[in-house]
Amino acid sequence: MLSRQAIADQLSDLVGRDRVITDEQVLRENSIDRYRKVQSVFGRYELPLPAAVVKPADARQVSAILKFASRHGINCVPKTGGSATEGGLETVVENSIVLDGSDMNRIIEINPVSMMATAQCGVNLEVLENKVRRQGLTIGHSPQSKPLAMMGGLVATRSIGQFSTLYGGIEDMVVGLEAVFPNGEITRIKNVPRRACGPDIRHVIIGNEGALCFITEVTVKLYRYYPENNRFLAYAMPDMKSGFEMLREIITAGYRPSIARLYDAEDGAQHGFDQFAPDRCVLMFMAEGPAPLARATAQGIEEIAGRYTGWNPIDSKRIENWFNHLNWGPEKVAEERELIRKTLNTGFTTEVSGNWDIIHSIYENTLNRIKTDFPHVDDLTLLGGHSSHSYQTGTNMYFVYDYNINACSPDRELETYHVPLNAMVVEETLKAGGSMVHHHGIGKYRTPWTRQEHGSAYYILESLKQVFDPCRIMNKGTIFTVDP
Amino acid sequence: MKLAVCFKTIHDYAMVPPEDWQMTGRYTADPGPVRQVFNCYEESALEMALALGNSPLSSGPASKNAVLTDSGDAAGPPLRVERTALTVDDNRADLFLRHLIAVGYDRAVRVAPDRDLDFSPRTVAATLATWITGSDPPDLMIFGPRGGAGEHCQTGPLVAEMLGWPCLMSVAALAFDDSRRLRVTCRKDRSCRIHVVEPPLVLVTGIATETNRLRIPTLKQKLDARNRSVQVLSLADLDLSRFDSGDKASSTDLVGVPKSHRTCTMIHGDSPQEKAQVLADTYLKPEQVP
Repeated sequence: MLSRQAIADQLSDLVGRDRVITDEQVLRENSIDRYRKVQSVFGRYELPLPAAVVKPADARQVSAILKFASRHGINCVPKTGGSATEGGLETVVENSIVLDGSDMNRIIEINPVSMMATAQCGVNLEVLENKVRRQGLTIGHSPQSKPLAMMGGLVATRSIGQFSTLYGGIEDMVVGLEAVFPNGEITRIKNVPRRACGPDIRHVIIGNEGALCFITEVTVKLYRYYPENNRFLAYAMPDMKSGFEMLREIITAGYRPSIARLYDAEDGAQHGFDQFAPDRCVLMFMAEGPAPLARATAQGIEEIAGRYTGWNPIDSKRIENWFNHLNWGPEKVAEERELIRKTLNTGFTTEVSGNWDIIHSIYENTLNRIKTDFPHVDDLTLLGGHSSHSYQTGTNMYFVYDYNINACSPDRELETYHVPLNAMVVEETLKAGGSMVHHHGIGKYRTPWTRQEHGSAYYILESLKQVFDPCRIMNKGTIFTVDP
Repeated sequence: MKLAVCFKTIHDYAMVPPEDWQMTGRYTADPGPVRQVFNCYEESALEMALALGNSPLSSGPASKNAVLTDSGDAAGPPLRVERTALTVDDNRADLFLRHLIAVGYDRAVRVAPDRDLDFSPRTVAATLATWITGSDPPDLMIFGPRGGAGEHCQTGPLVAEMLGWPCLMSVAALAFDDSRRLRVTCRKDRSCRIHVVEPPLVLVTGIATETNRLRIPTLKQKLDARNRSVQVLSLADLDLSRFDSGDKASSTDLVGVPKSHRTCTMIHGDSPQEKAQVLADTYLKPEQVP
């Protein structure tokens, strides 16, 4: 095995010294992601430090780095915007290379005729979105991390945005892409509207979480942007069961609002919904698109809502104001860090999905399990959840849990609180037949359940790893456990 | 010791788009349907009062861990701190008062106004002074430096004047000095003064306090708080005649968002060090010249 110094030196030979960072504080910060936000607030970095953070300039440099890493068995952790929350960016083995694509930040083409935008992996989503909006277009992808996230990471984690019910997840938006595999092979999947030329190999790359390859370039679809036609609708529902029913009725009837969200009372209260809908669940929609379509979607939702009883209307302006401030930029991250430092209160989410016939059971069983089995339930300051992405066959459930770190020091917060809470959500979801991850990626902390998630199809997943990463140098511990 | 903290909820102005500001035809502007939040300055004051229960010599409801002095010696006899949260507001404040009960306030009192009092600090002060001199008077009143759309920074000092109590401004920290006296740290600009004072008195917190985020209640605390009542008084319940509550008539003539222009200047240099030097020499050092 090469020493840390030898790794840094040889990387410098490959890409130039100014693209290789070995500053210790930078290495510390690159050994984790937001999964360990509490520990980082208190300056506790317990994971092995990477040997270097390297910022390649192009796909050829990525290829050279991956060939070098394969030759010497060095773990590589692909990264772009760094907004990951599931440990996917953690360097869990000694002397890893953090392969940071954020310098590959060129918007290559915006094609308003074929409605596509092509960008390198390090292009920030908000930058790209703002640029296409100046042409009256939108990508339609708007995760809360939009101000931070970059195109490579968004595709690598199978990200989803807040307008997904209309536009779909990132997997529905990617037209083609370029990726580099651990043997140095640079592959490009061309941009065509559809084809039937064997399996859709885009999906080998989309969602690989850096465990199979490094994404260098992405082409996504563009849509016309009609913000002036947006119409918000919101209802205070008596409970989650009736909320899920109405949501299901609207989606399965064929309406595609871009936003379709259902909050329980506890989760809603953290957003101030208890000020206008105390002890109620809140179901909200946004209809968008060309004016006749947006109008028809809103009318359709109102017509279906009219068939239900027990709800109260909510001033849609409230929801619109709230929604327009939902994104997480650097200022909210800084604010959260300050809150953790001063109050020792923190929170996480675990997002899962289930078909319509089981989603309410997943919701109820999970909350009941936590209330019954979690040993530090008295430290919880928030326990609830919401659905925010709906489909013809089901929806997701975003469990939200905050707690005062009271039973341990901040160093032990993960194993005392987050890990068991996360496990309960995952176990109850799998037990009911749902999926344990909806859009954050498996990262490094849901890997104990990867086999159970995929069942007999795990054969396919594991085979991809064996074929594309035979030396197992790509993001050890992500998707697959370290020693499978 | 009995203390009361006065607070007011405000609209979360950061969520209001400029085009949504509307004149109401009353005395103030309506920012539209946005959520209410604690005024951040008063949030500091509210937390400061809770933290006082954690300081040496005291044993308020949240103080079980804190009866040791800095040296680790056992402190003196425990002091009971009884805290009241007080507001002059409509029933939207009840949710916030319950939150305060959940985090450790013993009492929550709301005086319901009969009109908008954003620009009527003397009326608000007279209302508070009347309540303070009622049947169960506190020894210590804590205010935030400013709050609400009025931003007049007058309520705390006016209350002190009406009561004839001493008033300390720009309070950054608060602790017990002994069983009767408080050690009050006041910071303004670059000066720091520490006063050892004996209540009754009025404290007005500064903008930079050492405690500025209100603690977060657990689910259990929130559940328990639901069963506790908020005391609601009307102005008619209080005899305001003892204090001068006459505010000059005021009205809002214009509502708008000040226009601000931002420009961007690129700093050029051959290295980060060179750019940093230009930044320091051109922009930062001149700012520091008195």
